[in-house]
Amino acid sequence: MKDILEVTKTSRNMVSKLIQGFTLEQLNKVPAGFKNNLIWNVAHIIVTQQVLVYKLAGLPVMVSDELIEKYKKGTKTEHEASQEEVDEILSLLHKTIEQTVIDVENNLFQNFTEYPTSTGFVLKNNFDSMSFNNFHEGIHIGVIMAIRKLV
Amino acid sequence: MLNFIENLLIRNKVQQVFETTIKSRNMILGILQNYTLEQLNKIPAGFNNNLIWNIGHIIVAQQLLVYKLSGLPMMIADEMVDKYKNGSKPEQDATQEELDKIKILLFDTINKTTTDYNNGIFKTYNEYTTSIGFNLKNAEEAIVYNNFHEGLHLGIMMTIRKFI
Repeated sequence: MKDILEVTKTSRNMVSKLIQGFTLEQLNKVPAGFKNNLIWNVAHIIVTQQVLVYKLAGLPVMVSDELIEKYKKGTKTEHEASQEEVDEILSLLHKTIEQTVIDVENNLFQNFTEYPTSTGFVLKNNFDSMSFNNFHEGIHIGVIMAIRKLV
Repeated sequence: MLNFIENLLIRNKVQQVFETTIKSRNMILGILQNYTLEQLNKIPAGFNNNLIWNIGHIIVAQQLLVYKLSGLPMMIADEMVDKYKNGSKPEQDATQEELDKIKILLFDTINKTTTDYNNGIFKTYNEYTTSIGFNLKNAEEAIVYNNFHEGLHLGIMMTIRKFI
């Protein structure tokens, strides 16, 4: 599980580097042909990890229901994020994974509810969900890399 | 005995990681089948590469990360490595023949890696730090990291396809 989380940490560092230097306006800009903006993709990565890794394990999530509703799978950018919201998202980017590392060390992940992802992949246990989560983060980083050229 | 059980557990986990790689390859095939050769070769304005380059790059990167760094022979030609490795970009349009080859390699490479892994051929590894700063110490880590790398290029492909 450690290797998996090392990749997740690298993923989060990459996200924060990719959006560094972008203004609030740029983070909120939805380029023509897209449904989402940079900040939606960042928040979606955070929310998805919490849902896949914690909710499916029957453990409490570190993010608010409001944040989940706004950025979960199937949502799209409906409003502009405020600076306050962006700051919260950026702090959660690292805090959530630091917490997962601690929770793995403390053997918190004992239960799991099987779950079919939207791409038709069935997650069978906690290892599966953490591993799939890296792949999911990769996809949205690819999208972020493209959007940042267009804002 | 304990070592044996530990190894068995690690193998099971790596097996799960391979399942994600297969999922990734299926998603790539899904994209590949939906576009013409012309569309696959098209580089949209503002981008450095096209869909076919991203697919070739995913295949080449997996071979380099998992086989080359383990000191084992790869399943692909040097010519293909040079065309799609890190830092390369599309210099000429891919032909239908090349595309057909890529389609086969998409699954042959991963099926072979699964078999090779189960046969325990990955014994040594030349430590390597990836372009985004991830330090790989063994083949298992390379297999895990590779899924993230495939996801990243899949995300780029999902964007490119909006503009071709």
